[in-house]
Amino acid sequence: MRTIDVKKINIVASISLVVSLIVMAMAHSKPFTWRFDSWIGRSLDLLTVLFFIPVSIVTAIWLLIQFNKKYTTYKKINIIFYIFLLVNSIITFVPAKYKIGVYSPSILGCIYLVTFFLIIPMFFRLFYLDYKNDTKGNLITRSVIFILAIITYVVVSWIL
Amino acid sequence: MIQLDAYLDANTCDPVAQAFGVLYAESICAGDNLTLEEFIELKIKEELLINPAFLLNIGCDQIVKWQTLAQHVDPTSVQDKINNLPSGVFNSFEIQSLSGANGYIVNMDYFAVNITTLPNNPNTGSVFTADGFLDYFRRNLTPLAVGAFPASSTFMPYCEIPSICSQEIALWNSNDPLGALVYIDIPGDDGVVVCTEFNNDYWYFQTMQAPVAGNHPVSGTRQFGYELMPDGSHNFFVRGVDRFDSFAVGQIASALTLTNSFSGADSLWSAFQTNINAFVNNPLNGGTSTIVTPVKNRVPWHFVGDILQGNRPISDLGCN
Repeated sequence: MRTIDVKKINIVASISLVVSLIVMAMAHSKPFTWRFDSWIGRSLDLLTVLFFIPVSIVTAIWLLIQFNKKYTTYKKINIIFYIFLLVNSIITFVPAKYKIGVYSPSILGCIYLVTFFLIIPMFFRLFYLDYKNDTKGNLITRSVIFILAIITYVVVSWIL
Repeated sequence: MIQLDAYLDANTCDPVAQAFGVLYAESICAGDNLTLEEFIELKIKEELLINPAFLLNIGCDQIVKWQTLAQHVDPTSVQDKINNLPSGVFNSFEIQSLSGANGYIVNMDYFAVNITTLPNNPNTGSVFTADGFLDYFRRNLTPLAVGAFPASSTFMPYCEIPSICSQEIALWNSNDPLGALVYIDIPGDDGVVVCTEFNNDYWYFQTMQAPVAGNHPVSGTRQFGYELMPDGSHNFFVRGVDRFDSFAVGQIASALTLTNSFSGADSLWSAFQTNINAFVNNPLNGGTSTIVTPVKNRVPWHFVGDILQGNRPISDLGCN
C-alpha cells in the first residue's frame, strides 16, 4: 500500500490556494464576475465558481488541519502573528489608491484592516504567554519587531 | 490712540487691519497684558465660538450651487414611484438624504470641462447643440467613466428586479428620464441612484437604497449639466454634495487613504473630465475644450451642515 506524502500534498495545496486566490482577486469587484462581456468572461465566471472557489476552500481546510496538527497553540499564534505582521507591513508601503475602491476598501484594503486588527490582540496574548512561561528571549524579539513595524507605519504614513 | 490712527492712516493701512490694531491697542491700555500673537489667538477663538466655519476656505462661487443640491427634495411623483416599487428580500427602495447620513465629512465637488467649440455628433456629423451634447453625455455615462482608478464604474438602468427592467431601460433612454433608476456598478460597493430632477441643461441623481445593491456608499445629490460662461463657452460639469452613508466606512476610507477619503470618487469624476475632453478634442469630432481645475472641499459636516441646509447665511464662510 502506498503511503501518502503529506509534505508534497501540502506544497501542492499551498500553490493551488495561492493561484486560486490570485485568480479570484483578479475578478471584478462584484463576486466572481469578470471584466469581459463575451464568452471569455462567462467562461472565466464559471471556472471561478466551479473550480477555483472549491479548490481554495478544500486547500485552505487541508492546510489548516495540517497546521493544527503540527504546531502547539503558542507556536500557531506566533507563526500567524509574524505572517500577519509581515503582510501588514508590506501593504503599508502600497500607495493608498490601491487600498481603496471608490468609497470602500479594496481587497488589499480589507486584508490590511483584518491583519491590523488581529495583530494587536495576538501580540498581547503572546506577550502574556511569554511572560508566564518565562520565555523572555521571544518576548523581547517580538516586541522589538512589533515596535519597528509601528515606527515603519508612522514614518510611511507621514511620508505618504 | 489718535496718534496710532493717524499713523495707520498715513501708511495707507487696510481699514480692517487698522481697526484690529486699534482694538489691540485698547486691549493693552485696558491692562490685558497680552502679546500680539496671544491677542490674535484670543480673537480667533472668540470668532470660532460664534462661527465654527470662520477659518474655512470654501469656493464662494460654488457654495450657493452646493446649497441648492443639499436642499434638493425629490418631487412627489418620484417619491410615489419609489413607494410603489416592489421590495427585495433584504432592502426596499428608499432615497438616502444628506442630513440622514452618518459620515463625518461632507464632500462638495465640481469637475468641469470648458468647451469653447462644441463637437460634432458622431452619429449625424452635425455640430452638437449644448442640450444635444448633454443628452449624448447622459446616454454614454459608462464609456465616459472608463479609466478611473482602480476600476471603472458602469451605469446601467436598474434591472435587478426583472419585472421593472424594461420600464427602467425605456425611461432612462427616453427624453424625460425623471424618476429613472440607475444601477452603478461601483468597485467595492455598488449603488443605485434615481433621477430626481431633469431639465435640458442639467439633471440630478440622488443616491438611494435598493434591493441587491443595498445602500449607496454615499448619501447626497449630484448634478450633471452644463452652464453658459460669460465668454460664450460652455462648462459641462459634474457637481455633487455627499457624505458617507456609514460613519465607520467613512473613517475606514480616511484611515486607508490617510488624507482624502473621497480619492476614489475623485478618480471617477476626473475620468469624466478626461474622457469628455478627449472626445471633444478628437480631430474627428472637431471641438475644442480644456479641463477646468476641479473644486473640492471636504469639511466636517457640523461646520457647514447648517450653511448648506440654509439655516445659517453663507456670509459665515466669508462669502457675499
